[in-house]
Amino acid sequence: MPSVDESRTATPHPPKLEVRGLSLSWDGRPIVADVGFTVRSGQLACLVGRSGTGKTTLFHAIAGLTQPDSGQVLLDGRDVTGQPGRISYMLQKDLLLPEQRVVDNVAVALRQAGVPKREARDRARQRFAEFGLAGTERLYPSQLSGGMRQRAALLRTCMMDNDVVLLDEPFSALDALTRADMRQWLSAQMGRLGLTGLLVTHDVDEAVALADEVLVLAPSQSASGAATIVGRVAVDAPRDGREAFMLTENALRIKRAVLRLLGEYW
Amino acid sequence: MANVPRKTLTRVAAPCVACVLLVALWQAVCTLGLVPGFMLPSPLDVVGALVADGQLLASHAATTLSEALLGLAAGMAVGFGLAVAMERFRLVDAALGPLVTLSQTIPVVAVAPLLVLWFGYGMLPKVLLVALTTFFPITVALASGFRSVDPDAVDLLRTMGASRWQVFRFAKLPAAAGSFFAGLRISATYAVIGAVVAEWLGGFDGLGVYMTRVRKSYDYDSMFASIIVIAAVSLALLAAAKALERACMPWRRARRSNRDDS
Repeated sequence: MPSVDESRTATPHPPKLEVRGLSLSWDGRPIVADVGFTVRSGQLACLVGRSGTGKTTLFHAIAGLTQPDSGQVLLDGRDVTGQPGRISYMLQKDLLLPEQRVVDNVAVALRQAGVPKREARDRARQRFAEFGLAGTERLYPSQLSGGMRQRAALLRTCMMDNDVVLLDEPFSALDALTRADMRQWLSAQMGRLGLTGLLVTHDVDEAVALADEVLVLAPSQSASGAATIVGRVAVDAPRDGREAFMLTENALRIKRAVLRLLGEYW
Repeated sequence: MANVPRKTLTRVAAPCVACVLLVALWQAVCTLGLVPGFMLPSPLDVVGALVADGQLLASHAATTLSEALLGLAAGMAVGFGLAVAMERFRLVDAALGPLVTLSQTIPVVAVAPLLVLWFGYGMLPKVLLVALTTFFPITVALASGFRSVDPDAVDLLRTMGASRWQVFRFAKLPAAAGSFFAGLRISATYAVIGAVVAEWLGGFDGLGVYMTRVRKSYDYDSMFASIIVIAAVSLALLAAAKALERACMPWRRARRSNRDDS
């Protein structure tokens, strides 16, 4: 669809999240080496790699939870390497605190920032309807369905006022149908909220169904065997209406390119 | 009553029937004279003693209960403080961990007379002994509860900019609540026994003192009566601990009601 491509180049997206030459090791063994990429504002990039290639380790470093051996993480051009709290993080486990009501779970990020309990609750409550969670405020997480829990987790993430979200296989714990619904919903919400996202997955279909760009993480040819970005594939399709796009020749071509980079296709 | 599930009915009825049968057997053994009365009083004799000595037993029980409660409170405070310090500082954990375990290998009957020697016949040595026996289950339970926290939950809070204290307050402490109350239930049952043992070895007041007196006068009816009172006080303390647990962990009940719905 050329018209979409034109509109995209007409409004250039400034770089939002930049990762430069990031190298990480665990117990002296290099895990990822010299990882670099840029995610532009409002875009969703998917990092695809096989299990055990260090995706989660890389995410921890980007979120600022660990200090990398070398390299930098830039947010809007500012160095935030090793500083947690600037970039939000969502995992496959929703990690809602079982002891807290849904409203308090959503408000938890505000509480970490020192907002008093009552005010944090009020601010959280105002956004429940927008996320399809109206009426669940007083419930405990154990009383919600899997999809509802993930929505609550996303709302909690959005309460942080960070505009970059890292998503670590956020749907892998859901059943296939809920997963498809949640994908669409997440993609739409992120567009609506103007969030920039980096999603990690080992599911190539999921990557093609969601991403503006697919980054492929795989072991490099170097002796250390550490993983790096071996290639990137742009997905030239609008973010909505991806179910139909997934059935096109074009989607198949993109999928084939990603699989080839992963070394799973010949 | 018609709505009470069969399982619940069985859980209540089965132990009741077992108790009644046991008491009936005991009464039969005594009535038939299989065991002489001075060696084993019959249940009826025990009930008689319970009624006759009721007021005296109640006042002794009040002493024992207050010692148990004060000791348990002290044990809880120490156990909690210790577990938190051990969780926060690895050095404290390394230094005190073995000592905490060692403290539980000391026989209570050996420590009690020493405590009486140091602190007299008053309430203090009893409270200390109860604290000594009750802090341990709480420390152990809390320590394992703190460790049970999901490390991903800790990471998530950190990505929200949480401080160490906030991670403790929002993740570790709630994660340890269940373990804490499991420990408290064990400690609650130890508390009364601890107080009685301490009284037994020296004092003016309390069920332990009462027991030594009736034993010396071969008044085994009263001896058994005091056992019943001790059991009753222990059960009451346990029930209080359970009530506290229910009040402090409302999310547990939510889970249960949800399960019933589905």
